[in-house]
Amino acid sequence: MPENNTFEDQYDYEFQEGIDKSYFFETRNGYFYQINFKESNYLFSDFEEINTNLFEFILDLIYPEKNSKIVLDNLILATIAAIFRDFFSKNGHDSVIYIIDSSDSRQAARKRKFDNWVQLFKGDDFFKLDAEIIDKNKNKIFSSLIIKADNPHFNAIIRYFGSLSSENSK
Amino acid sequence: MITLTIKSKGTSSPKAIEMAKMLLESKKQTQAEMKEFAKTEEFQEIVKRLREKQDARK
Repeated sequence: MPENNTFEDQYDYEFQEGIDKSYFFETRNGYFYQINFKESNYLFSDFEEINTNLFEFILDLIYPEKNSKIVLDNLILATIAAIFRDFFSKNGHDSVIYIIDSSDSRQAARKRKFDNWVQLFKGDDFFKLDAEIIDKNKNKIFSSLIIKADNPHFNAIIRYFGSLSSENSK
Repeated sequence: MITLTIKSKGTSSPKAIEMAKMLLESKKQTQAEMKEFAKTEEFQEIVKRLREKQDARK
């Protein structure tokens, strides 16, 4: 595909409703990404005071399977932001959690990449709570909770998520 | 977007560590399932529809 392609400000995406809520898009370089919002209410299992859903955000390059030369472009960022907005337009009272793999000590770079993905959420419509979780081996695991600022359960959700990771925190 | 950061001063609570482990395992499993899905006919149909949309905009 030529560089002056017909994409305007983001890639087309397809949404599929299933057990997970899945989105697919193809970049100008022929890479296919899938984003899943996976229902994970088990994490809120002892959070009985309100009825809300929690979804894990999972993004991966699914085709081609083995590709070490991923070309990132601004349309990918815009597409991810558009997908987030679409998700929250359908699930405005729900929350999204993202966890960053720390198995190879590259978690700080992944955290920066995730923050880059969501930087296009301008304004005060969304709220992100970042939490560092440190295990017994001193491994640092980053997680982020994203919620709409007008969520009717905003305070309770933030308090609950914060309490999970703040026992020894500042 | 408004961002608030909670930094841990020491080992997190067992509940937080357990939650993180469950999330990491779930993510790994889902990514494996996504890659399997990319080998299916259903995925090929999605590819076809996305490309039709792109072609229609040219």
